[in-house]
Amino acid sequence: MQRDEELIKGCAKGDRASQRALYDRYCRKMMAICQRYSPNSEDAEDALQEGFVKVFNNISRFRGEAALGTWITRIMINTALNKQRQKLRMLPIVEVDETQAYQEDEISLSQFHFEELLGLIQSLPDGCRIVFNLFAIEGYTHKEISELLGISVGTSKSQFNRARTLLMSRLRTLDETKASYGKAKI
Amino acid sequence: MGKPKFEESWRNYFDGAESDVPDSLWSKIEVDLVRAENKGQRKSLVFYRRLAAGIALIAGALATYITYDQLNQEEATYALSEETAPRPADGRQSENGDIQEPTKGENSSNERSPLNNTLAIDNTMRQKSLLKQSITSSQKSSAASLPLFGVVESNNSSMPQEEKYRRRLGDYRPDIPESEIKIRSEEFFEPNFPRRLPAMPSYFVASNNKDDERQSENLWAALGFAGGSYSPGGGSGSYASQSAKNAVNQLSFSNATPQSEQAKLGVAYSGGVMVGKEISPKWVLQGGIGFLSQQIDYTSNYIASNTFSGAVQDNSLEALVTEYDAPLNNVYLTSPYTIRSASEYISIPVQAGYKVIDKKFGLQVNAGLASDLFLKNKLTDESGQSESFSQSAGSQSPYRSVNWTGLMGIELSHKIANHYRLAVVPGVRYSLTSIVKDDVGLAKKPLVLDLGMRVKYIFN
Repeated sequence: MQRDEELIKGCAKGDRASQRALYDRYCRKMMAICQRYSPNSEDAEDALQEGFVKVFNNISRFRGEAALGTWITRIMINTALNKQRQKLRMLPIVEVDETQAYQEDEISLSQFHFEELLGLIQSLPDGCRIVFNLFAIEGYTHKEISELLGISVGTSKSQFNRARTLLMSRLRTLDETKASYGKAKI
Repeated sequence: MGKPKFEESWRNYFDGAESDVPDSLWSKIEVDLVRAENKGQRKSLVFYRRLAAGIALIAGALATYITYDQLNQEEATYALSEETAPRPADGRQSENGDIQEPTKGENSSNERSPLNNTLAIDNTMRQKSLLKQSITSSQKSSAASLPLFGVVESNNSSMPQEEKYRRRLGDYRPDIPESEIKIRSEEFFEPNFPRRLPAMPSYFVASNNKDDERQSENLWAALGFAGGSYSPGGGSGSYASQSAKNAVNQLSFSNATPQSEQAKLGVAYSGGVMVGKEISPKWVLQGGIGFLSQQIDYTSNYIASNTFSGAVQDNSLEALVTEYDAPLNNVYLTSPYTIRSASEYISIPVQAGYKVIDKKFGLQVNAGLASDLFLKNKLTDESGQSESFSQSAGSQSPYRSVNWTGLMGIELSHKIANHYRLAVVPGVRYSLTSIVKDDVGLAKKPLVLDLGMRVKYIFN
């Protein structure tokens, strides 16, 4: 298996075989990322396609400051965000009380399938889904999210809280459904 | 062990997660890559096509001149041939240089008629001619074997040609038939056979062709325009203000540079007037004033806006290039869009020209300098979503007010009338200094390859 450095060199020269090898190495992971940010599979595929084209067109600028996978991930997230950009402008500006306490969830995610959890995320409203992904999964702070998306910190927090509430509610519903199914089987 | 937080549980679950990808997706990516590669190749092709056209033009002009010069040399060459040198027709040269008629019977090997002998005598009385005339077959039959010499004489005299011929003969020779006199006079005065002159270097020949004379053009004025390709130089990065750069640098997605890419080639137009003076037979000094426009497109995927009231302002390109005292508070990514950057200058060129060819067709090599006075730069969002922004020269502008540009080119011209000359002027303009100020942190030295037309009016 080729090392990342060799793939980068080959891709920078426009070698199609190197590009295909890079694509094969990262496409599944990037697809999962694009699916988290997109409301449906079609948008996710578009974002993945556009993202990889950007990767190959700009790979000569990759300086190795971060891992190649991290660099590609950022491009994919940027691309997915750009596709949702219009919707971000419609986010309401809401100030949130910072002292609000969050109720810890008691549901373990390990009992759910990947598609189920992905479906829950995709079912969130657009702004909630994006903020949730950036804050909860990518690890950005609300300040960074506000600068990235052009929204206020309060809006970022309110969107995340709403996402959290919706997810917890739907997880409970899903959990109860699984439990009742199990009881019925028994 | 405490329960993981909500965020951590989700992060841990999706960390490294993978999902299936449709098989057809790679084909779509490949198509996009090929399209992007072709687009780049097309731009290179445009450049090389223009270069080839310029070279073909120069080659064609040179070939035309060489052919023209060769034709002129063939028409105006002379030769001295021993065969055609006047010689006594079997007569002996007397002591005083006169040729005596050969006595009858003395020269039986070259027996000639009395007319031919008379011609030979007559020829020796004239100065030796350097002209050789080819004799048509019809003339040969009447001229026997003697080479025929003749000088074209003016027919302005009112005296009949036959009488002139008779007088040239010296004495009236009644033995010469009238028919022969008439033929000989016509041939003498109006040779009707083509004059073919052997090759001779043109500098031995005094040419009467006015077109071969050096075209003395002491003072001229010209009106010209040109168009060509514009390469901004200094890499593919486009100009952005430090405020915008700082704002973008804070984005954790970015690799510390604004993601904007400039097109490799833009377009340049120019037009103006010039005046030239001949300072020596081969050298010309020329200068003028003109208008220069250089424009290039670049794509960007971020918008910077400066908000003051908390509400998001309408997008304006001003925030991309303006320096603010306070940090920009709104920079966000967008889908890629095209920005056109158009810069305008007043150009004052001064050039020295060396005349390689100075005739009806002219070839001149020019070199010099131009000072370009910056007028303004206008940024336009091609999609129309952002407001355009113009900035002129000044202390706040990132552009230098004055730039120095090196000029080089050739001028292929043709004199179409006494006072008019039409010229094609392929040339190169290269900025010797960066068009943006040093504190911008981006050196831009544009290179322009253009092809121009120039109409000259020659005063004297």
